[in-house]
Amino acid sequence: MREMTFDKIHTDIQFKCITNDMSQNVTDIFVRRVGNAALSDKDFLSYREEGRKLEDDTQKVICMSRGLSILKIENNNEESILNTLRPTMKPPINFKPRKKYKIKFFCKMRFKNNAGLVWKTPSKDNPYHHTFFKCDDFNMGDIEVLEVAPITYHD
Amino acid sequence: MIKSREKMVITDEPIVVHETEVMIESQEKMVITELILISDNYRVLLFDDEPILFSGTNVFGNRILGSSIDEDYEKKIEQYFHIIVDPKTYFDFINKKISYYSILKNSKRIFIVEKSFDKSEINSYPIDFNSIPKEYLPSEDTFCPDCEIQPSSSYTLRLEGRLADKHYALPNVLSGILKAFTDFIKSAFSGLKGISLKPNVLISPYASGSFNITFNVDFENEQLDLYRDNETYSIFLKDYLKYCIDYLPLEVDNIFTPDGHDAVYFEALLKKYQDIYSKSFLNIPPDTRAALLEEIKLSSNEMIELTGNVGSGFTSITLSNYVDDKEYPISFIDSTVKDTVNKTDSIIESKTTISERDEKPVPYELHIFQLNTNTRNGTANLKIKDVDEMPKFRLHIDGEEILEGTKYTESLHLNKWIKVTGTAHRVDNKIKKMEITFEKS
Repeated sequence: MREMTFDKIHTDIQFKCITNDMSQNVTDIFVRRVGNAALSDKDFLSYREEGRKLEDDTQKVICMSRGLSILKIENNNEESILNTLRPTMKPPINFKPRKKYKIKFFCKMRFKNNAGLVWKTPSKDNPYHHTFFKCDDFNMGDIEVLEVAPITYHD
Repeated sequence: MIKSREKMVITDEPIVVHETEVMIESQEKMVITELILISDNYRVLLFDDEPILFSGTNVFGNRILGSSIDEDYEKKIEQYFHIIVDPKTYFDFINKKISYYSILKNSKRIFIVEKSFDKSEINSYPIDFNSIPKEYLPSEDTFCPDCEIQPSSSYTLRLEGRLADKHYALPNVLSGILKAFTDFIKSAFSGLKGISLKPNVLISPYASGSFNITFNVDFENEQLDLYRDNETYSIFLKDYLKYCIDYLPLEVDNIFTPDGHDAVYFEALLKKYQDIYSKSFLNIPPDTRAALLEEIKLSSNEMIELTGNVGSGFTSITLSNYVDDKEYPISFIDSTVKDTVNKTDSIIESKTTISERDEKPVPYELHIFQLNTNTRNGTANLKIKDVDEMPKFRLHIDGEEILEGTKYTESLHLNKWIKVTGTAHRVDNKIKKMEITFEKS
């Protein structure tokens, strides 16, 4: 079994994003918003992996920009997913309406063993928010995709 | 992406960067760029896989609000709105009184900033609200998300307007502010029982921009407490300062009445006050509510002192928490807040004390130790015959005659006792304020 390492997310920084607060999670179901029904590596690239440089220099934001935003859903049913997705999508879409055009689907998934670590990053507006740190050897096979479905936006 | 102004159409086609250069390729280019770009205090207010909403300050210290508009992954370009906002507008936004949409709509200075993904190339151009394509326009209910930071024990007071914008401050005004804010901080912990927490307040050298004063609160002194928890103290202090300035006026009618429990912000603050005990593994005393109210009452006085100088060489004060070399604004004080603070103090006084006023001006002997000759407000000690105690109170000298060269400034500069005529306002039998009748000699 491979051992997880996290050297890539620590490139160019002098502090550690990985802490004892984070753990693997192979049981809960998470949702990630994606651009296409056919998933690709591009849907699982962090802000930094997209080649985008961050201007905020606070440690938390730097670390979040090196992970992936995911939402933890309480129950594996449609109502729970909608209750999780809709309110949390509202602020980003309200401020940046173009997200509607770029994020058209959600991917419901579980992480497989040794895929990476999950970090709880909730806010008052988004209590379900978590950040996923991919391990250095992460590939799409490390995700068990349960469903990819369109997101319906209501104006 | 939004196209440059010359070719503004509603389209999905990515903008060609060189088209925008036409608009800013001039001597003005540098001025515009410097003015609208964030150089300090960059702070993400909403992060969702990317920074969506953010703020910061430009090289001149002006507050900038910005949001992500769009990105072109092929050309590796991002677009943002940048708006220069005045401090009052910014505070109204972070306090959720106004939306981002309304700021955009009412702004005469909206800029589109284009950056390469690696931020090595930056272009910008102005755009007016009506030219923003609908599909890029934030919705009307774009209120600031709740953002929490781990507070530090450092604070800055940024004086702005008039002399402060030229990086100057009047010495007597400055000394009044330093003392008032220091006492304000100390009053936040004055009611604690069984915890020897007497914070020292240290002041760092002034910095320009416009005129910044940094206060560092040191919780370490006199403390041998094994369970000292600076984090809890810092969280309480930040919330306490914001409560006194922003929320107390909203809840003052409720909290000082015997069964007035319908005050959401006060209850939240009380919980953090009680945390100081519980995190120190001490029992929470039964009268913490009364103790906190007493602290707030004390602070109300300090706030009058702090806000009393607004208008003397500056027009506003921005109070910020200073964390990791960045200013995180907490509250904004201008002449409106000054009036509110005075009204709030009167309400506290009417609810908690027995107050009386001299029916007509009578003679008093006093020593003025602080006086602002512009506002004619100051502070003095009262001489009481055969009594060692010299109670301190605030004063205002009526009239419009120049105060320099009068007995009032003589008392101030030469530490002299002087005889005056005034109308004293007593609270619980102690003089709180005196209206002095101006006399030439």
